[in-house]
Formats: sequence, C-alpha cells, structure tokens
Amino acid sequence: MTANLKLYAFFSILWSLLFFAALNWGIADTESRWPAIWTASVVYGIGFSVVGKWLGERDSTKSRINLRGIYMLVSFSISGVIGGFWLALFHPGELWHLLIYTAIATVVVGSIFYRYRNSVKGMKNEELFK
Amino acid sequence: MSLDQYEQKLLDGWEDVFKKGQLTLWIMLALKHGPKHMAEIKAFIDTATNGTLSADDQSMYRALRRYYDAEMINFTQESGKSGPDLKIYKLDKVGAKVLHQFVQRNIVHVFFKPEIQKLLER
Repeated sequence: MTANLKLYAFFSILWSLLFFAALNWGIADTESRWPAIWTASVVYGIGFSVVGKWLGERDSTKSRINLRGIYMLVSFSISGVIGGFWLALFHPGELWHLLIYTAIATVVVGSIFYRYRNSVKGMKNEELFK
Repeated sequence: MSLDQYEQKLLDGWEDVFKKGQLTLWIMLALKHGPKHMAEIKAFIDTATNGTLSADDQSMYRALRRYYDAEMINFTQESGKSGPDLKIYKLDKVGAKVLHQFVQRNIVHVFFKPEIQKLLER
C-alpha cells in the first residue's frame, strides 16, 4: 500500500463516518429529510472523487498496480463496511440493502479492472504511447 | 518525382496519421543514442526524420513524464548554465529491453527483409 493510498483509506473512514452521521441527522429531520439525504450523498461522492483524484495523481509510480482500480476498491470497501455497521446498528431491518450495494460495487469496481486490464499503471495504451 | 496538388494532399494526410504513433519510437531512439535533455531530444528527432516529425514542448514533456511513470526512462537533474535545472533523460533498463524487442519485431524483421528492402527502394 502506498503512503497516499493509506492516507486515502484514512480519509475514507473519516469521510464515511461523517456521512453516516449526517445521514442519521438528515433522516431524523422529517421536514427536509430528502433534500438533506440528497445533499449529503452528493457531497459524499464529490469528496471521494476530489480527494481520490488529488492523492492518486500524486501517488508513487513505483508500484505496478492499477492505482485507479485500487482507489475505487478502497472507497467502495470502506463505505460498504461502515454503511453495513450503520445499518446493523440503526436500521437492522434494512440490512438487505447491503446486498444491492455489494452487487453495484462489484460491477463498478469490476468494470474498472476490466477496462484497465491491459493498462500500464492505470494508463491506457493509447494514453501512454500517443 | 513531383506531386500534383491532389497527390500532395493525399501524402500530407497519410503522413499526418503515420506520424502520430511515432513519437514514442523516436524519443526512445534519441535516448538509446545517449542521455539528452528535452531540446537535444527534439533536435535529434528533427535531424533523424529530416524535419518531418516534430512535437511541441508541452507534448514532449507530457510524453517524457508518461514514459518515466512507466519506468521506461529515467532522469537526473543538472544545473543549467544560465537558467533553471535541466532534466537529463536516459533510457532505463525496462525501456531499453522494450525498445529492442519493438524494433526487432516491427522494424528489423519486417523492413530489413531483402525482398521488402528491394520493394521499398524500387
């Protein structure tokens, strides 16, 4: 694991804890529940992409792994684990949502690894040798 | 052999597409020739290709950065005579091996065949 990836994993944990805390607060507010949930979700997603892109672009190029895919895997895994705990603690009846999340995450992360299966450190051949 | 306007247009179009994938090869060849900074790489390519292939500084820097990330080339910093530090690029072990294989498979074993050479010179 590169130093930036560790930093990203740490950020993902904090960011996810913050998101699910905000979600708790949003759900409790019956008047503006949906706008609060939508806003929190969009900010949550943007946070991942902005911080992930920033750290990823500055990450070490020493390792020959698909960094793009690994960053995505870290985001989905941490979000899923914390989300799973959140569901189990506060909404145990809705735990089946985790199955849908896992299926979507598997497709998204799997497609990234598939798209970049022949890539060099996440750079497509057309990008590297253009 | 002189070309009319239409033939020249065809030639320009073909050359334009043909050159697009060649920058990597010429940068690698320039560095196989010896370590160089960017301006020297550009000068080498210009001379070797009789001025038919050129790239702007931005494209060159981006390409060199990508090859560095891919471990094909490496660089050392040297202080410039009257300006900022110069990056002196050189072919790395990985780049040298890949270039050798590329040249053998796509150039030497194809264009150096006697019958193909004769055909090209005809």
